[in-house]
Amino acid sequence: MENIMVVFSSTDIPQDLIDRSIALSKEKGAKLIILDVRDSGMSEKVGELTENVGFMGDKIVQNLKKQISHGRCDVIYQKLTIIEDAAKREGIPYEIVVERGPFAESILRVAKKKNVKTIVCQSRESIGSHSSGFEVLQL
Amino acid sequence: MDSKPSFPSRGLIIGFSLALLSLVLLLPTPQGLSVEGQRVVAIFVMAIVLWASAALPLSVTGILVIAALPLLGAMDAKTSYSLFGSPAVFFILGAFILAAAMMKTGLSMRLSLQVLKRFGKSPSMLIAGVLFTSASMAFIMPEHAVAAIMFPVVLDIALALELEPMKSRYGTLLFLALAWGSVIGGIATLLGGARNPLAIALLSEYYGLEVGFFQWAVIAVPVTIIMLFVAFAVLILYFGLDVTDVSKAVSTLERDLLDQGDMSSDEKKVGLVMLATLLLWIVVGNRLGLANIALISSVFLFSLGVMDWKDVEGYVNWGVILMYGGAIALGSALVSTGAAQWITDLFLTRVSLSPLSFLFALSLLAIFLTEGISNTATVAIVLPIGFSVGAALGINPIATVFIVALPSGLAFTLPIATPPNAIAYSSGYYEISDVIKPGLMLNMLAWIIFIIIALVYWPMIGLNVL
Repeated sequence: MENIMVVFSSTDIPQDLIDRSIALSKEKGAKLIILDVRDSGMSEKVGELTENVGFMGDKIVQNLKKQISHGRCDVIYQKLTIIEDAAKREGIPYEIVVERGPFAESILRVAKKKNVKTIVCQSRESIGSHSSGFEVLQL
Repeated sequence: MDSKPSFPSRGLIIGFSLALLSLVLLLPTPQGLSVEGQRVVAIFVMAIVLWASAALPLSVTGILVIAALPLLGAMDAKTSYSLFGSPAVFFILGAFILAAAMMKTGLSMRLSLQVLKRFGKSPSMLIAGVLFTSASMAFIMPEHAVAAIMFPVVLDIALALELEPMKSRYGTLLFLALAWGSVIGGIATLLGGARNPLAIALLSEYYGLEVGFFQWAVIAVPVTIIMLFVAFAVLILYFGLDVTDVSKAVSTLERDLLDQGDMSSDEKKVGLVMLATLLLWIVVGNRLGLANIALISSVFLFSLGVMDWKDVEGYVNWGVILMYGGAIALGSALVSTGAAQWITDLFLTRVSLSPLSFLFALSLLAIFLTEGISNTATVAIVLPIGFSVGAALGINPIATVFIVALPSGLAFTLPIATPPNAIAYSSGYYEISDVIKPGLMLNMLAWIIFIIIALVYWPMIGLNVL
């Protein structure tokens, strides 16, 4: 069975990305790998600004970073259930994979490991030169 | 959203600032400027580049300034280093320790939840509640700390209401209300933003004049109150409401409050110390000294066993003292060497400025500069020049403090402008592009409101700008 991978990396998970990956998996009779790449970039940047410009102490900054990471995880989790429900409804086999690390490298690593043929992702999330060997559909 | 440039560009900016320093030092000394004054101007130019770009942490630039002044012969070492001992620096230190105690004991979270839960009657009331709670908390503690405290509370509300990131307008409203409330409340008292004590420290250094805790609030609070109404109107009218029921949010707030448990004895102690401190600042602040009261209150917290030194190290960032020491030393050197006067003469011979246009231009400059650089840096850069130009135009220096310090705190658009904006943006509920238009709209409205208050209300309380 062919594997198709749909990739999310932020709290914005557009409906057309969900629709397109579900339709493609159904059309090709493929398994859908739902990859959620979480990097700590946002919490790090906000923490740095709060520390250097806001002059807040380390305890406040570390706690804030934790809250931001957890908060983003929670909202992403809410979104992932939407695509999971859609896959269930259409009877498409699926697997959710959560990766931490830089966006492009994470995709490459999971795509190789899961023997993925097609990657569906947002246009702004460029995976550039890392994408050789895969068909990449950018929306 | 980066708070500082990446390494190659950081190196270039630091190199550029040093090149500018060297260039000004190597130029022939202009007529009307002493050699020492020229050296201070060179350091000032370098500091502007470094503070504005944040190529070095703001506090490190502060250290550089303090060391460069005696090193380049612009000020003797004893005077330069003694400016770290400004009362404003110790006031900030004491205020940060008090805020730390409120955070450590959970008192700040309890107060926020108590105030906020009273607003959960309708979606618009809840937005008003987030705005008001954030603003009122920023009356008694730094606005950055308020945003950090309120972030998980607002996130809980968003999750309880199942608001979809990037799609729910109500999600955007909630997080912008958190950021804008903290920012607007931060200008109201000397506790909301450390730039406020910095401004009065520069006033004291330049003119030997003092602004009391109560006097600051009387001058600034009307701007805060009007801005809260205006911000609420901009939020509701621009984004609109796409939620009709917020009962789940109220349940979440009540659950969060229950999780807090009964008020602990430490919370009660901190609450009493905070109340007593505020009263002393208001009633006898001018006589006893704001910094002295702040420090004695901090000692009380240690004596009562609420705080230990490890807590202070965890909650207080010592960088603030270095940044402020540097800014105060530079301001002092600009005046004592005649450099500030020379810059003013240079400026006024090229630009024809009336007192009214000075008020318009300086406040507008501060309000937009603070969108790009730290609001503390804005005060450190703009206020010394504002004092000199203002004096030449016959502007009351106390008015100049507020013409610079209040607009410098009003950044509503970019996440890089101030931590509350960055913290709200990090929720992932909106894009920067979503906030550009309403943010700029609020910037312009803030400027107009500020001008009206300065021209109409301030004279009524005896502060004449013109």
